[in-house]
Parts: sequence; C-alpha cells; structure tokens
Amino acid sequence: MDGMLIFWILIVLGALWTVIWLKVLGSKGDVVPYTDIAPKVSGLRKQLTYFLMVVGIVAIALAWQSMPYAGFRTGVLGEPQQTIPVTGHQWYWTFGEENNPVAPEIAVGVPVAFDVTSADVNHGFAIYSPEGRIVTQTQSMPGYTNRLIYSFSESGTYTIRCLELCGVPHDVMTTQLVVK
Amino acid sequence: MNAETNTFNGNNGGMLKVSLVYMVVGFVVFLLMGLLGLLMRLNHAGIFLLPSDWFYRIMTLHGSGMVAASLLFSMGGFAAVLSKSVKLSPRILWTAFFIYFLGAGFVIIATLIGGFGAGWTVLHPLPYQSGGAWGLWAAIAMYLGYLFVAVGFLLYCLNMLYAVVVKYGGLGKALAWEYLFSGGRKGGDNLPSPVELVAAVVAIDGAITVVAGAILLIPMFANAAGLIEVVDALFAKNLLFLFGHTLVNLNIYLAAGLVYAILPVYTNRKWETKWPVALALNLVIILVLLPYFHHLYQDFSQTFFLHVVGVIGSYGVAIPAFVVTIIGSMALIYRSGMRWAVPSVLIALGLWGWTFGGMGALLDSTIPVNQVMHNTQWVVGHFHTYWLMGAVAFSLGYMYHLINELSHSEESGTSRMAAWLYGLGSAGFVLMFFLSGANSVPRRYATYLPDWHTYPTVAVVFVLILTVGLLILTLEMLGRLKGAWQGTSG
Repeated sequence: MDGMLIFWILIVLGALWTVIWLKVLGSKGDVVPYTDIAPKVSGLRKQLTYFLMVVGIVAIALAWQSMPYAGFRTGVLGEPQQTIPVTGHQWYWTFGEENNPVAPEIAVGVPVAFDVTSADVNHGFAIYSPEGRIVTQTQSMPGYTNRLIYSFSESGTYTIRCLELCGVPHDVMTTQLVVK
Repeated sequence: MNAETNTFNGNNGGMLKVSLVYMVVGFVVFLLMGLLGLLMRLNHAGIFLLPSDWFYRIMTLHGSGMVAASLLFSMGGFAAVLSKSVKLSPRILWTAFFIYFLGAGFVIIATLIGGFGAGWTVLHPLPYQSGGAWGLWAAIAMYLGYLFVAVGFLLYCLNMLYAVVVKYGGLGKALAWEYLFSGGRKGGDNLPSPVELVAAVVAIDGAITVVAGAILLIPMFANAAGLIEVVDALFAKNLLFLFGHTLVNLNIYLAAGLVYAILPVYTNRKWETKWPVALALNLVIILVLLPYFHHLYQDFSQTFFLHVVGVIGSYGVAIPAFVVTIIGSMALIYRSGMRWAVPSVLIALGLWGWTFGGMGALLDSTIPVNQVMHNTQWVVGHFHTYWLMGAVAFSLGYMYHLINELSHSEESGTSRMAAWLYGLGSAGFVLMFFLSGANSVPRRYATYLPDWHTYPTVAVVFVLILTVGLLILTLEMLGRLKGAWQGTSG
C-alpha cells in the first residue's frame, strides 16, 4: 500500500466534502422553513446509513486481501523459505538466536518470516525501502513473538527503524538489511 | 442581568461561574501546550533544536496536557449548557476541578522535574525501564497524575448522570429507551433533549473509561512496589488504549454537545430529540468503546477477532456521528439564513474538520493502510484535526458565545476574520502531518532526517497564521471576561 496514494484519496474525499459544505453554507441566504427540510433529511439519513454500511463492507472485503498477519501473507506469498529471529533491545536490533547472532542474507522474491520479539520494552519493527518508505511493520513486544512475513520485490539496502517510543535514544535505533 | 438568556436561566449563575473557570483554565492550558507543540515543530524543522531528553519530556507534557486541557475546556462548556435544564452541583464540580488540577500538577512534576518522557501512552514497561532517563518516582508521579485527572472526570460524569437521571426519574428514561424501543410510538412526551442524552452517554462511558484506567493502575502500582514481577505488555496496552482512546473520543462528544446547544441560536431552528438521535446516541454507548483496538493492529499476537472488532468499531462509530450530528447540523444550517458570527464560523469549521479528521482516521483504521501508516505522522494528523478543527473549535466557539452573551458584547468583523484565520492555519498545519505520514515520517522522533524538514517548516508558517487568529480572539475575550463574570450573578 503506497502512502501517497492514501494521501490523495484523503485529498479527493476532503475536496468533495468541502464542495458539499460550501454548497450548504452558500445556501444560507435563500431561507425556507425547517419543516420543508426535515422530511428530506430523514430520507437522506436512511440512504446515507445504507450507503456507508455498504462502503464499510466493501472496504473490509478489499482489506481482507491484504491483511499483514502470517496466515494471510502465507496464503498470498507461500510458505516462508527463511526464518529470521529478531529481537529489539534498548536501543539496537539483533538478528538470530540469543546466543547465535547472524547477519541475515535475504534474496529478492523469497518469502521471509521475521519472528519479532523484545528483550525489554515495546519497540516497533518497521522496514523502510531504499527510497525511505515503510514497506511493512509489526510490533516488537516483551513476552510475545510476532511473525511478520514479507517478500522483497527489489534489491537494495533497507533500513529498520523503531516506530514505538522506547526511551530517549529511540530515534537512533536503526539497522540495515541488505536484500540481493 | 435578570432576563433569561440562551444559557442563563436565573438560577444557574453559580454553575456558570464554575463553567467559566473550567473553560478559561482549559483554554489557557491549551495555549501553553500549543506553545510546546510549536517548540516541537521548530525542533523538527531544524530551526530550534532541543536535546532529545527534553524533546520527549515536552512531547509527553504536550500530549497529556493537551488532552487534559481540551477535555476541561469541553467539560466547562457542556456543564454551562446542561445547567440550564438540569440541576448540577457547583460544589461537586469545584471539587472535581481541584482534583483534576492536582493530577495536572503531578504530570508537570513528572515531566519537567522528573524527566519523564514515555509519551502520554505510558506503554508498559517503558515507564519503569527508562534506561536511566528518569526514575521510578517520576513514573509513579505520572500515574498519580492520571489517577487524579481520571477521578476528577469521574466526579464530573457522576454529577451529570445523577442530575439527568433525577430529572427524568430513571436511567432508562434519561436515555429515552421507551421511545427508542417502541420505534418512537411511546414515551415521546417527556424526552431528554439531545444535550441531556449526550450527558448520560458520556457519563456512562466516562465511568467505564475510568474503571479501565483504574484496573490498569492496580498492577502498575503493584509492579512498582515489587508485589508482582511482570505485567503482561499486551494486557497493559489494551487497557491503556481503552482508557486513553475512549477518553479523547468522549471529549469530542462533549464538544459536539455544544453544537446541539448553540447552532439553533444562530440558525433559529430547534434541535429536537427524534428517533434517529435517540438511536444514534444509545449506539454510541457501545460503539465508542470498540475502536481502540485499531491501536493494536500491529500487535500480531492480539487475537485476530479483536482486530476485526477494531475495524467494525472504527467504521461503526463514525456512522451515528456523521449521519446524526453532522448531517443534522448541515440540515439546521441549510437555507436557514444562518447569522455569521465567530461561534457559527467556528462551528462550521469544526464540523468540516471533525469529518475530515474522521476520514483520515477511517483510512488508518483499515488494516492494510495501518500497515504503512501506524506510528507515522499520519496518526498525529488525524487527531490534531479532530482537536484543533473539531473539539477545540466547538469549545472556543461556545466560550466566545457565552462570554459575549453574559457581558452583553457585540463582535466585530475583525474577530470573524480571526476565526477564519484560525481555520486556515489549522488546516495547513494538520495537512503537513498527513503529508509527512504519507511519506513514512515517524511520529515521536526527536531528530529528523534532512529530507523530512520541509513538512514541519511549512507547518510552522501555518501555526503562525492560527496564532494570529487565536491571539485576536483571546484578547477580545479577555477584555470581556470581567463583564461575563458579573453577568453570572444575574
């Protein structure tokens, strides 16, 4: 999902909303009794309720195809070919088991499972593309392991940023992943 | 002033005094917290750099202080409106005010003296594991601050609920249940007004919210005292957001209640409790408790069912708010010959902004969108839109209206222009948050990459515009405050 696409959706919806508002506000000089308006509003409310419910159901159906959770991602990308344990610490990331840290080697187009946990407080495990956009993320939580499955479509150096406030040096808690 | 006005009924002068204090103090704290916000944006723009530890202290104070200020601002306005039709207790509201401010004092001590910088979300176990940035006592002070603010809010809610229930002779009648469940055929002769319905709904959810906060604080204090070793991070996060998210939503409902009260004054049309209004507000009792789950979409260990509840709750709660309050307001304005004044300008801006912020929130409540927006500035964009262009705009509009009414003052063209400047500045300011979120700029970062500097730099320009608007309105209200205070004595 591209962030700028979402931004433009918001802008278009906002522009439509602004036009409707201006029409309502611009009508203020042409006065009619409220009894003329009320019955129309009642009908409009019903229609809008049904319309919004349909929009909501369609949105959920569309979203269902792109859920980030392991079962959904496996269904789309296939079983992960590689599993990388990830642990967040104040204020660095480690890959691999506790006693056997590794520098992960990741190939383009291969589904990878990141098993993300935390050794101390909550962190956010967000993978940024070489262009600086979030491609996927999950939380890194003490006492839990969150499985994040992803398949990188482009090679390059990806940056891991912590996206959950974890202390004063939170914003420098970064590392890199090289995808070949 | 002996004649009855839109707010003064001859008997509620004492309540109006408390309400004015709530509103003025809430507004002043809002301005101070706004200055802290400006510091943070200047820091992000690279214009005025803050040390990281101070950035997080300021951010924590700004976040929690802004929630407290905006809530107090709305509480004051709402109490003034409600006091015209039900008997509230000024003594209880004064008590609530002092407890509330005791809480604010603890938060100030925790952040500015104790160095606490875990954000308003205080996600466990960070408050107790700061890595040396602050001590345990600062975390405890922060929690005590939350406790007192919550108790103050609970007193306020119970006072409202008691007053409305006494007036109608039962909770069911205060919530118009007979009328609602008979499809509008029975019980229509003694219906609560929309404001009274909002009071009952907010009071019930407010009490639930405070209980959630209390349930969270028990293990937090027990953990600090060494009575229990570990508090489950996911449990703590769920309760924290049930408390925090719901509380800020209730703030918006209180502020929206002010729209029910003053829009009729400027449109000369009555807002009555019809069946859709009763249904919508009763649905809100449940629906407002559900959207908080969207804060936990990226906690993959949370049961999937609760993620789905988060989506349905987030979408669902928007429908009654939009279809009843927003559309109802538009219907009141449409071809009414509405009088343009500062309050009506701010309400028009607020209704626009509440919806626009809601659109941003609904997009982010969609799980695949949240995958790339969670904990970016997009989130900051949507709640700043809610507040600046929603809750605060409504409360500010109401305070301006009340002060003018009680002091028998007239407004000027300059003040109307100031209200529009406030809207313009706010819109540009929040748009920069949305744009930076769309470009994956994280929230809660003390230091920014050079590529990210443009958004806060442009935002600062808009902050200056909204500051000019606010300054004009503030000075005007300040000059009339004494007259308004005297006006509460009849």
